Amino acid sequence: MKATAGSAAVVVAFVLLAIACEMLLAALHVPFSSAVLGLLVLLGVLLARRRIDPPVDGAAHVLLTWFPLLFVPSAVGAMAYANVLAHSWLGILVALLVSTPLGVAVAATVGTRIARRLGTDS
Amino acid sequence: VIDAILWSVVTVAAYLLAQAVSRRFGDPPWLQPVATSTLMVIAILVACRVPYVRYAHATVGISFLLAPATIALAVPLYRQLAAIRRNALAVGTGIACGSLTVIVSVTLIAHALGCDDVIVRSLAPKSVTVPVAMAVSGQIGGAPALTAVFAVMSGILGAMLAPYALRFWPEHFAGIGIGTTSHGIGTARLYALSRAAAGFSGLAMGGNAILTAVFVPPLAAAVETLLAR
Repeated sequence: MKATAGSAAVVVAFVLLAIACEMLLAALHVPFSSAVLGLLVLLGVLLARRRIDPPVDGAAHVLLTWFPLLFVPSAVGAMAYANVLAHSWLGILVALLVSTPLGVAVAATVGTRIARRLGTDS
Repeated sequence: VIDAILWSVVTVAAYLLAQAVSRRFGDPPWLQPVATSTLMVIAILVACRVPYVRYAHATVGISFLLAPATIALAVPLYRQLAAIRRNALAVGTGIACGSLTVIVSVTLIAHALGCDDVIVRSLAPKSVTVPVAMAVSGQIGGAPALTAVFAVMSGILGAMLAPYALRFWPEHFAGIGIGTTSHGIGTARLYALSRAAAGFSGLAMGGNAILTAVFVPPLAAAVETLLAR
């Protein structure tokens, strides 16, 4: 999957879709993620077309490969809260370190058990 | 404009360096490029005495791409749609139970360990994608920017857990676990390990975003009335 001109155009289309969703949610005063709304819109488009065209596939692959990089500016925000984090670091650290693996385990185990009982997951 | 180019280049360079270092050590779970590059950028900002606000303003371009990248998750999700439909009940129940587990455990633990009320409220919606987490946090009296930091931390933690989750559970449900708790960062890590798991993870991330946006504000209000008695 190479980044072709078609894929670049699709990336631009995704950006425009994100902006359109953002404007729609702002106009309706709904506090929801324009990104998740856009995901649902694209899913709807793929369902209607019943296939993934190569440029769409290429664009998605490029964006998803670089996805982690895009979180760095938000993560750097931790420095603005150095005081809060330094003051309550133990509670925050324990709460995050316990709740995250616990949530993964509960969601994955419940899902696996139900799928096994119903025999739905091959 | 110079600021925007400079800090965007610094961010990308830090990430590429972090990724190269991680690859060199065989991508161990404890060495997450997001975490290491973040620390590098913070060190540079502190050394140059640049406040976060200026850096955040300069890198809005990078942050803005989060939306189209999240939209792109529809592609692996679409590929898994048949498997998701077949497992609809297991998937839905798994996401709901995982979501509730995180919300209850994170708030109880933080409260028990003496964290401020604002911190507890900011932690409650931390499992979901940053824009939804921030919106919910604002609604229930938390600090949205602090929630964004907690959300990113959960994401990094989920990225660390991803390879283990794939070993413990069938890949579909490893995806459900990681997506429910670690939104885009966990899903991005899974995408590199298993496309099928990433499809399920993308669904779980979207599902939990909806659940959290709908249920956390009334839950917070209910807890408040209980405590007020």
